[in-house]
Amino acid sequence: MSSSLAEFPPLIKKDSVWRRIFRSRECYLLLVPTFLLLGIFNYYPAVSAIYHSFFSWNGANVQVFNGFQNFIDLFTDQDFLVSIVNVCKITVISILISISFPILAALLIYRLKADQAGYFYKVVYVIPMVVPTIVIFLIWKFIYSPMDGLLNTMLAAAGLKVFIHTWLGEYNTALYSILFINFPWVSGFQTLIFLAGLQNISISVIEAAILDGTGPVARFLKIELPLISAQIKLVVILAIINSVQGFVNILIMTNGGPGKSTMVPGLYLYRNAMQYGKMGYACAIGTFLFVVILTLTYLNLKYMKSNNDSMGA
Amino acid sequence: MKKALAILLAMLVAGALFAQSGTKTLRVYMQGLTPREKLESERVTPPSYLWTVAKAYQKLHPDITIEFVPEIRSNYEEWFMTQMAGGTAPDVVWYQRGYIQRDYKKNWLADLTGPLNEKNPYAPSYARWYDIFQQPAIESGRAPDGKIYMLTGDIVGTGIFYNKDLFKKAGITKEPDTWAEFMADCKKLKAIGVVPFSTSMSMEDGGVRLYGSWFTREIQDVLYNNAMDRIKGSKVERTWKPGEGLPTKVMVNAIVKGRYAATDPQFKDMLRVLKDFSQYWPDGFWAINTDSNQVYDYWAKGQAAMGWFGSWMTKTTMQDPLINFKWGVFKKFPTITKETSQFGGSEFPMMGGVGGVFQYAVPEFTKDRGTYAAAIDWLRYVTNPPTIVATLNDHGGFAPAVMDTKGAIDSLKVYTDMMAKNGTERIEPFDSMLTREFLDDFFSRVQVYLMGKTDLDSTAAGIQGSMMKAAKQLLQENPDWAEK
Repeated sequence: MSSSLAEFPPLIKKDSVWRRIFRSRECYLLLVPTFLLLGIFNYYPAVSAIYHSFFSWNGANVQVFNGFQNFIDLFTDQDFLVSIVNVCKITVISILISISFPILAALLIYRLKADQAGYFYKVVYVIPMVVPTIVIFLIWKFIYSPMDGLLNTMLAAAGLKVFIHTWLGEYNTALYSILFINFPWVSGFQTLIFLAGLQNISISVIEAAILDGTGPVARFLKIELPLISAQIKLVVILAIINSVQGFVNILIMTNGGPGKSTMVPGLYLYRNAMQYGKMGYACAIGTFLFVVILTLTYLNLKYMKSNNDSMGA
Repeated sequence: MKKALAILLAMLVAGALFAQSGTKTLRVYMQGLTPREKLESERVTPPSYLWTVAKAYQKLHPDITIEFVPEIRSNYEEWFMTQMAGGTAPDVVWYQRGYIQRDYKKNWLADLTGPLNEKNPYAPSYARWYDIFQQPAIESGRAPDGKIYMLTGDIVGTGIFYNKDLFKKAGITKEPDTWAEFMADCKKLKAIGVVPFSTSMSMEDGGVRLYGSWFTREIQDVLYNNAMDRIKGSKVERTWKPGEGLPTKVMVNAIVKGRYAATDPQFKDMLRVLKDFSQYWPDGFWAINTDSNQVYDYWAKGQAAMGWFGSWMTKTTMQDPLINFKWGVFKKFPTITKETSQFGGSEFPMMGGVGGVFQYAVPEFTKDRGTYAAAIDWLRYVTNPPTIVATLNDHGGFAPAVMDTKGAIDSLKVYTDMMAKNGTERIEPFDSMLTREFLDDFFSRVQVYLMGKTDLDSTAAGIQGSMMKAAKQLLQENPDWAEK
């Protein structure tokens, strides 16, 4: 009885991969447009950017191979180094914002006893997602306006003139004013992800905890929070990617100013490519950001335990 | 299946043949002259005359349809660069003449020298198309390689607009003659609780790149007045003719050889005068949103007593229902005398010159696209003197830079007179002197200095480092520019 199954030929002969693909050719054909578009608009530009990061390229007619020179220049470029410091601050704060307030909001909805109320709040949180991001930034730009902005007007009306600032125009407030946008940061995507995670927790686990006399806070910290760690992991990865890549908010709100106090790598990349004609250098910045995001995502996946990991899934 | 494919192929071939034999669409980007309907939110009638021109042109050329690309209000440079790199730019593009020195080697724009030396069939009384234009205007499109890449057909001017009612309230009885008087008037205006001068120094197109650029260029022309010959190595008269001052090539050499530096006492004095003036600007001037013309609105609402606006605002100020006060334009910029700076004493040049809304070029790739000849023909039609005068009259903010200005509106005469009398600044504007990278760095340093975050010496030293880097980069890219 020591012989293994491998010694016996399979009863049904397995088809080759190509044969199986051919048999399901209609399905694969339907996937072709998706992969084609992905290839053209996502993978080709990315590969092209890595390739061009080794060139001095003006985007028009000058393209000279210069090895690692763009990367060497990058790490001696003061503006780029300032942008790295800023993006580190943005990333840390964004992660904290992404996993704190939305979890709280999701938990409040989850704990609501009335289903109707839960549904109402879900809709309320989701509605702001349909407003284009650019509109939100422009509204906040008006709120922060130094002359007749809503925030300063309200502070003046409340007799708090001492707190009036040129919010987007001062070194100490510009970056944090941008991060403050969308306060209290509970609407939309992250809240829904956490809510889905909470709703996925087996009701028997919760009932058992309640029977054991677990209080609401302990229930959250010891049961619910660990069981939504997969969602937290996802939200952290997305927060890192958005923070490192993103610059639209800064482009619209401060354009990197005052001085260079809100400069971020994404905006610096954009400027080098679209304003300075230094496409090769911009590609090097993009390649560097790609490596950073990849590394942070890998570390996050490897070292941050999720409920699936702990359950051996 | 084969039958369906054959039908599809036949349809494609037929479509292509039909497209060949049908009308040709010429996409033109006419910037501020782009005709459009008035929006409900607008207080002033927008230009529309080019619709009439296009209609008349299409009647003459039934095979051509003129399509106006909507006006791009901000980040035009980025849009332009992307469109040129992708080969998707319109057949006629607006192009800032100052950038020609930076871009001519990229082979983006078609050489117009040949067509300009030919006769314009729409203006047969001129021997060549070139002769239609005032010489300084058309010559402003000439690149260092001797070729003309663009058409410049208008003149733009600026002036200090002031609220006469607020001046009266502050006890100011006449326009200031000197900078010291100007500062004293600002102090009086501040004392009555109004902002003396509306401006912006935000990092937006209408902030540092407009007002920052104007202030620095004007003040430095006065303070460097006695050093111009040294910078160039030969006599530099102040005229209104581009090319007679200190073009990029001269400035690059002057910087590398140390004849012009941000650490010069004149340059530092320029920054000092500007900083002193900034105390009379709105609070948070470095963050004022310029996208919605907040600088102008601040003045038009009577919250600020003065503002620096251009000839393109003439129609706006005349039609704007927001303005309910008497206003005027300073006859001249108040002179910086020795009382203000040891380098003072000469009059300010006029901020303006040739090239405003009417600066057009034809992309080189229109030759492959098959629209080059039509683009040239459209431009010949539009630059026929009566047509260009009528088009610019409709806009109301730019004077025509053609030889025959018959019929041009008089309201712009104040600017053209000021320009002819005082000339324009001689040192190449920072926008086009070096690189865009330098420009951004320069203005971010100026902004921080005006905010009081850095001192004068470190600001000047930082600008100098950036300036030298940009000049060396340009010399490396253009080795033929180097002084022998």
